[in-house]
Amino acid sequence: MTQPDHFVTEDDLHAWVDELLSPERLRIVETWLDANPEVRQRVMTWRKERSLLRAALGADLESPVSERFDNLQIHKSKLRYFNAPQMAASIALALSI
Amino acid sequence: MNESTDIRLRNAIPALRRYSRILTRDPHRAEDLVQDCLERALRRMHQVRDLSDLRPWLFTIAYRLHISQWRRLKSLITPTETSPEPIQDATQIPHLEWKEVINAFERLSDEHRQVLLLAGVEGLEYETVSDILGVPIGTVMSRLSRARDALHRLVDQGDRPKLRRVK
Repeated sequence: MTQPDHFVTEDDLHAWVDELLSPERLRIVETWLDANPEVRQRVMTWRKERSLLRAALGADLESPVSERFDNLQIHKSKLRYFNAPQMAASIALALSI
Repeated sequence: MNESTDIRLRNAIPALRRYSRILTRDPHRAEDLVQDCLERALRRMHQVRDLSDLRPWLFTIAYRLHISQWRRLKSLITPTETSPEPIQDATQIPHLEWKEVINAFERLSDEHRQVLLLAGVEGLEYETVSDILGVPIGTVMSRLSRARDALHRLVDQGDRPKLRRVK
């Protein structure tokens, strides 16, 4: 990931998949991938599976948490006077996790 | 609970809940874990006044709680009584490709599922993942590499419902 030269590592490939490369490093890796199409195929597959996993597990975030959190908002003035364990219990309850 | 605490927690709680489900493989234990985690977090909010994204901090608390609870649990019950439950009912996932990838994901080891969730899905920096799991960054990278290979092999095998049922 932090190699100064044109030597591309396995870590670079994962950072490419996760879009964590600096612009300079990205240029080097892209050039290297152009010369190594079979590796490009592999990292593109990883990136595709990462996107699919994000999308599939994203459904888990879209459960009506915000709606339940609104309930929490309503009770916020009361919550302010609760101690931490009670507050945590109230949050968990409000979210109905 | 002031306004900024409220917003930062609101933003992080869905991710905390998802991470807890992946850690525990059990919705009920995940619920307990989230509650324990929030309880601790609320007592320590002063530690993270300047942190806008609370996910790494909450994940660290959740991971440590899970490890200590799991050690306690293991001393009390036999492994056969803790068969993992799927994080989501695959029949409820509309998209076929999503279903395939979730089925494959569920069959990965705990270590592999966690690194894929934290780095791949949550998009956290590798150093942050290393802090959360308390392992060197080299370990994170090798786990990530093996996890991606393993996930791909399982996705490639395609739909084999009977295999999925094996616990």
